[in-house]
Amino acid sequence: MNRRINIIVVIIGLIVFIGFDSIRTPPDPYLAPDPFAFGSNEGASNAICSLSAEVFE
Amino acid sequence: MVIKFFLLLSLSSALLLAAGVRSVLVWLLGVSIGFVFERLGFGFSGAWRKFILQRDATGITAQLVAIGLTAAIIQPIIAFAPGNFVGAVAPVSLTMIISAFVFGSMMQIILGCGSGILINAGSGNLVGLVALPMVCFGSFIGTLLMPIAFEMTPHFVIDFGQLLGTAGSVMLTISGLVLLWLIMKQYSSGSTISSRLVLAAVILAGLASLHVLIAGQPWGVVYGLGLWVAKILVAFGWDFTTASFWTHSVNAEALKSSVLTDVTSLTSIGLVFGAAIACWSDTGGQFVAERVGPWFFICVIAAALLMGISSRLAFGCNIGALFSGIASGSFHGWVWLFAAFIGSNFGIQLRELIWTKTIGSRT
Repeated sequence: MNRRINIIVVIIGLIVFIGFDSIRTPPDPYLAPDPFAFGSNEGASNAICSLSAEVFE
Repeated sequence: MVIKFFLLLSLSSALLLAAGVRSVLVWLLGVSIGFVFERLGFGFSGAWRKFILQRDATGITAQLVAIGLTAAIIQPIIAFAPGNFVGAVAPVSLTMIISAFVFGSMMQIILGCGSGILINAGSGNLVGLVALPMVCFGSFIGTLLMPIAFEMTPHFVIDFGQLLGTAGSVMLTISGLVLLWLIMKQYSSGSTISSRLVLAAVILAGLASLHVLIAGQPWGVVYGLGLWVAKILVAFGWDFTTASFWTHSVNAEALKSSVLTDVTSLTSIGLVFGAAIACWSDTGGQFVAERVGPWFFICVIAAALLMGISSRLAFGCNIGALFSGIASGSFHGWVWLFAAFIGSNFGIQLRELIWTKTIGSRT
């Protein structure tokens, strides 16, 4: 099996997932946070692997 | 080259219009990291394997350089605006230690860690392609098991930044990394420095620090992978309020928002694209190497599933826990490192056993 075919399969899979998700929960550019967390009041989303503090409560 | 550039430009423009500047920047960071990993041969599980089997410490030295540089940059940034910026600080517990051990074992069976699976899948590796969806599914199952883990064993958080102050925490982190390097050097069979890997480490530290400045939080992988499965299941009618993990406001918000605004999802998608861009030209006539029997892929599926589950219960993979955890001054990053390293020793032996058996049963 050619490696390029595998790459195409993965990329198409991701694009299909993003498209599917964008139909269900479309992003809104007008609600986008500031470009940089640094220097703005819109910091971390807290959606992080170590998890936010509230999950431990 | 021109086609790749315009493809990247088109996708970035589309993302900019759909989700805003921060999403594009985070995605481009992921692409850059994926490119560096693939092009310069930087990695985690392979470097550990080389050290354990061949006493080649060049890969681990590069990891320590990357973590140390990142720690020196991001800890002061996070301390500068607490609340606005968060570190990858997580608790230590018995289930966390066991999970890190399991993750270390499994990543040697499929030859890819959290970031490695994405890079492998993006570079056309068949094992990576098979393992990626299973790691995603495992990460989701891990979120369902998390309340049980919390009930079973006490969890305690040790944040060196809070205990020792930022300067003390940075000093402790770097001293720990240097000590580890000195110990490792004793067991190394040759030079511990590879200029190519050190270059990759320096670039990676720069990109990981930029990640904190842009996203307000350190780089992670597995949270996003579990989120993808949760989102798909919600679309097919799953009631997420039945799982306490997903009812917490941050996670519920992530479920209701676009994947194009989730930081870990964007970097993970970027990693796949970055690896694909880096290796596309080299993969034209390349076929997947040795043919193995279906038994091997059953083992890969099981290992990837376990890896996903354990990554969630260990509060991250080699990126979220090891790289970003240690760099953030979290004790759990160090515990993860030692547990996963012991697990890797076990996993390497297990893989040899599985490989021998599957080659024997090849069809």
